[in-house]
Amino acid sequence: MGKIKSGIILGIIVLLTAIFAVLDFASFPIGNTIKDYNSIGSTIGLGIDLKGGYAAVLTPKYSNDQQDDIDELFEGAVDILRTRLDNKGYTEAVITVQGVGDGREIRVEIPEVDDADEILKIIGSSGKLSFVDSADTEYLTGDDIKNAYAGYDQETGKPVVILEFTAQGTSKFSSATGKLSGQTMYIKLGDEIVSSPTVNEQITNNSAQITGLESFDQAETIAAVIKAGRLDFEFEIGSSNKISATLGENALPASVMAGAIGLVIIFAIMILFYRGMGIASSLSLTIYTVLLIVLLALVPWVELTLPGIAGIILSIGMAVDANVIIFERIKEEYAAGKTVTTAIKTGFKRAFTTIFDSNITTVLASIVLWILCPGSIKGFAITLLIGIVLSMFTAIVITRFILKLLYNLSGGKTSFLGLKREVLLDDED
Amino acid sequence: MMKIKNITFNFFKRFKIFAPISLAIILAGFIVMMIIGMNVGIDFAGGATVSIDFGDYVANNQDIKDDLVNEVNAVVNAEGFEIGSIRWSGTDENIYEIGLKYTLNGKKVDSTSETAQSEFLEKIEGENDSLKDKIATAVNGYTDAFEFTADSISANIVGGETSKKLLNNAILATAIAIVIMLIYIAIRFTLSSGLAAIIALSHDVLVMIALTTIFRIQVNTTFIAAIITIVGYSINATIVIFDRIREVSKLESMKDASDWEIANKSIVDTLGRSILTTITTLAVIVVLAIVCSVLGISTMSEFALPIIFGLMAGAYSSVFLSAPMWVYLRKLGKKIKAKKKA
Repeated sequence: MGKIKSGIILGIIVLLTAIFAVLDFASFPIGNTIKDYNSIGSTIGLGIDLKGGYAAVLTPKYSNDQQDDIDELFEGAVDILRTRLDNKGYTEAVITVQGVGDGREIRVEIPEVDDADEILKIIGSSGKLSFVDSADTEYLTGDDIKNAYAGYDQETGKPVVILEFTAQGTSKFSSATGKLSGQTMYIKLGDEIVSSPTVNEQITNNSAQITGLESFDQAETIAAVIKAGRLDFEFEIGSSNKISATLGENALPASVMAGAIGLVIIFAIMILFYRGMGIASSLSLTIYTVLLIVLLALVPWVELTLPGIAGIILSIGMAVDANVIIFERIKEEYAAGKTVTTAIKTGFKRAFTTIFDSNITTVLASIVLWILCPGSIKGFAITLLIGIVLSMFTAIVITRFILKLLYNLSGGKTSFLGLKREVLLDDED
Repeated sequence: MMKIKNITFNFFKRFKIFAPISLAIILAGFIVMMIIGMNVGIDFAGGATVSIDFGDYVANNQDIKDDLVNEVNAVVNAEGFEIGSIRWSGTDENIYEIGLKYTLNGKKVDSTSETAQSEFLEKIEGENDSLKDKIATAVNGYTDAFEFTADSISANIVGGETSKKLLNNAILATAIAIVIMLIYIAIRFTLSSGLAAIIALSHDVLVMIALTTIFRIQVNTTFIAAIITIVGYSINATIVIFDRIREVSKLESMKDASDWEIANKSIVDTLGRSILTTITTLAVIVVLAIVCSVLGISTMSEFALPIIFGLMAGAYSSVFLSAPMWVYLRKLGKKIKAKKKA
C-alpha cells in the first residue's frame, strides 16, 4: 500500500472513530425537528447504585395451613422472585428481606423503569397459570407448559406471549378447545385474567398465544414469570417508592471522568515506550472504548453498576496488555535480526497464542459465572465477557491494521516504531 | 525495556525472601479477622434501616438536606450506633434512609435470634428515650420552619440472607470456574502449570482479603465482583509467563537447561510486559480511586482499594511466585513418578 492510500484510510478510520465517539457520548437536539438525539452511552441500562430506581415492599399472604413451614416457603419465594427478575433482565434488582419471623416482608428494588407498579404486580403474582372456562373449570395449568417467551403475532403484529405445551399439555389443550368450541376461554395468571380468546375450533397445535397485551414489555414480564415457576402464595404489593442512586448522582460522571483520564495516561505511557506502535495502540484502544459502549447498549442483561465498571476497567487493562504483548514480541523479533515487516508479522503471529490462552481462561470463567450466578454477578459476568472478547478482537485485528497503515505512512522508518537491534551486538543502530 | 533483559537477575534467590512476606501478610490478615473480624457491611450482616420522611420541607434544596444529614448523623453517632449506608428516596427525594449495623458503642450486638433483633429495633424506635425521639428532637431544634414529629420516622430490621445466598452462589460458581480453568491449562500446558496458576491465584485473592481486613475496608456485595475481577487478572498474568516457559522449553539452546534456568529466562523475557501492564491497569483504577475520594464518594474508593491490593498481589505473584511454584511442582511430580516406578 502506498503512502497516500494509507493516509487516506487512516484518516477515514480516525473520522469514523470520532463520529462514533460523538454518537456515544453526546446528546443533542435534531435540527428542524422537536426530537432529541440521545447518546448511545445514555441508553445503557444502569443499576440502582448509579441511577436509582423504585423500591416496593411485598408482603406475603400465607394461608393458614402454610404457617408450619413458613421459613422454607419464604426462602423458596425469594429464589423464584430472583429468577423472575433475572429472566426479565433486571439482574441488578436488589432483593432484601426485612422484618422478623412471621412479619417478614420482601423489599424489591428495581432500576428505573416506565411503570414500576405494573411490573411489580406481575412479578409478585403467584404465577399460577390456568386455562379455564366461564364456570372456572380448569383445563390446563403451568405444569403443562414447556416454555414461554415473548414475541409478536404474525398476523396482527401485536405483542404476544407464546406458550409451548408439553406432550400432555398438547392433548389437554386439544380436548379443551374441542369442548369449548364457540365459547370463550380464559387464561389466568393468579386471579387475574390476562387473555380471553374465543375458541373457534379444536386446536391440536403444541403451542398457544396469550394475546390482548398492552406492550411487548408486558409480554416479556409475563413470560419471565411463567418460566420461573409459581409461588406457593401471593404477595401484596405496597406502593412503589422512588429511590435515588445509592452511590450518589456523582458516581457515574466520576467514573466516566476517571476512565477518560486513565485512558489518556495509558496513551501517554504507550507512546512513550513504543513510539509509533504506541500511537497505533492508542487509536486502537479508542476504537475499543467506542465499540464497547455500543455493545453494552445493545446487549440485554447489561445493567451497568459499580462492579460492571470494574469489569470494564479490567478489560481495558487486558486490551492494553494484549497490545503490550504484541509490541514486546515485535521488538524481540526485530532485535533478533528480522526485517521490520517480518518482525511485525511474526510478532503478531507468536503473540496470538499468548493472548488467546491468557484471555480464554477469563472468558471461560465469566461464562460459568454468567450461567450459574443470579442477580448482579450475572450482569457483571456479561460485561466482563463482552469486554474481553472485544479486547482480543481489537488487539489482534485492529491494532495490526492500523500499525501497518502507520508504518506505510512513515515511509518505512524503523525509528518511528521505536525498534532497535539487539543492544549487546549492535550499538550503532 | 531492553536493558533489563541483559541483566541476569536471579528470581529464585528472591523466592525464599518473598514467599515468607506473602505468608506473613496473609497470616496477619487472618489474625485480625479472628480477633475483630472483617468490616462486614449491612448487605451481608444485616442491620436496621431508619427512614426519616422530611415531607415537602427538603424538596430539592441540597443545602438543607446536607445540614439535616449532618444533624441526624451526629445524633446517631452520639447514641453509639454505627452507620453502614445512607441514601435518599421518595418521589421528591425527601426521605433520608440510614442503614445501621448491629453495633452499639463500638461493640457488636447479638443479632442471631429474632428476640435479639427485636431488642435492637426497640432501641431505635421504642417508647422511651429511643434513637427515634432523639432524632426528632434534633430535627425540631434545627428549624422552626416545619412541624416535625417522631411519627415521620420509621425503622425496620433488614436481613443479609439474600446477599449471603449471592455470595454462596458466587463462591460455588468461582470454584467451578477455577476447576474448568485448571483443566484448560492442564490441556494446553501441563498439570504443574495449572496447579501453580491456581496457587498463585489463591495467593492473590488471600492477600487481597487479608489487606482489606487489615485496613478495615467495609465489605459489601461489590466485594464479590472485586474478587472475581482479580481472579481474571491474576490468571491472565500467570498464563503469560507459562506461555513463555512453554516456548523457552522448546528452544534448541535451552535443551540442557534446568527447570530453574528455563523459568528464570521466561520471567526475565516477559518482565517488560509484566511491569508495563501493571502500571497501565493500576493507573486506571488508581485514577478512579483518586477522583472518587476528591469528590467524596467514599463507597467507590472503598471498592477501588481492594482491587488495587489484588492487582498488586497479582503482578507480584506472577513474577515472583508462579514460576518458582511451577519448578517445585515439577520436582514433586518427578519424585512421585520415580516412586511409582520403584
